[in-house]
Amino acid sequence: MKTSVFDTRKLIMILGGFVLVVISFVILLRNGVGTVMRLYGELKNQRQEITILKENIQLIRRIDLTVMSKSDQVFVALPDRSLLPVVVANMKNISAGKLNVSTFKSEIGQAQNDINMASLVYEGDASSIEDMLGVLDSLQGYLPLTAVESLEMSSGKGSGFQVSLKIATFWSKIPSELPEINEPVKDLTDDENKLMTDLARLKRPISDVLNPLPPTDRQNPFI
Amino acid sequence: MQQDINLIPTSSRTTQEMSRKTSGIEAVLKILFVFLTISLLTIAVIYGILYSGLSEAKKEREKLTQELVALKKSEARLVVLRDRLTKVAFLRNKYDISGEYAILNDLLQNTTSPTQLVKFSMNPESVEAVITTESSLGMTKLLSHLVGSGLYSRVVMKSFEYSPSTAYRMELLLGK
Repeated sequence: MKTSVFDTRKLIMILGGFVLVVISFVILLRNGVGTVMRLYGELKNQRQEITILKENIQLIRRIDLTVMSKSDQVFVALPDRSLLPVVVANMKNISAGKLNVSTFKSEIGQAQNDINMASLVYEGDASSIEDMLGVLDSLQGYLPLTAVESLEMSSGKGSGFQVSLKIATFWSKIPSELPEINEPVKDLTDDENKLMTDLARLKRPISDVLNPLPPTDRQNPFI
Repeated sequence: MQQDINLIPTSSRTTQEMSRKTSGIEAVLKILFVFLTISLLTIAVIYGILYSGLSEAKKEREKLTQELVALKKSEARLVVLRDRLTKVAFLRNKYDISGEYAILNDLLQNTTSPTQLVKFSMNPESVEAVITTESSLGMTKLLSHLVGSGLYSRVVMKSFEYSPSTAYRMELLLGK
């Protein structure tokens, strides 16, 4: 025999309400909390990016003012194209009267994957070792960056020395891609600043003056 | 005295126990409803705050991005500068002859007549030198300087000769 019609209905209503509450909770958890968490994550990312962007702007402004004045020398030290003729001119002027060149040749090579180099081989004679060391010392005080690959000297028949000198100059392509806008820009390290100061002390290439060969007084062909 | 009249048949009446249970479930449901409502409201408020914050942040980011785009030229210069400096540092390290240069200067200072530096080759790794002398004393003095000065990390005597025509001749490999 049935106990109560009234209670069964109430029980069904209560159970229905309970199921509704459970479903609402599930929806709330899945969508509501999920959306809030996503928004929170997005906001956090945006704030991080904002911080990076602000730091980048500050750094670039500061670097722009202080560092860039010295950077020209660095670009001449390692240019994006070969400055071989400049090095030849430097060498010619510095070694004048100290090294009599009998043969001279150049070779193209690579110092590293993205660094090209041109070697210059000088052969000739010099009066003393000190003179040649002086030449090397002076040469390394000029731009562009000039390295000594090797120096060989042997006493010749007279009082001088036979010399074989190999020097190198370098160039490298400029990077074609900039980092992403939201990537942190790093300040120059102490070592980089020191190197830049060192390079700033190097002398600019010697401009070679080519005087006209005699006779210097030429007739004007248009008169 | 008035008496309660219940017209529901006794068979359809709820028992006291059943009534207590349904009231309990009802109370729990009410609490859950309240909790659900509070949760919904809280989430709605948090959502509103976050949404407004995000809109502000997006605007600020956009503004900063535009500002940074205007500074791109400077950034490009900085990137190139760093690239150059890294490569120059590598080259200066690879082709550093300051040690070898110092070795040669030291050799020159310590090879006084009749001891002579007749031949040498120098590269960024080492110095090889050929030294001749008529006196064994000069040779001894030079060697004791090379070994005792503490300037050299490596002193290798590659050859040592004596002949009446060239006197003493030794070939050294030196490293600093």
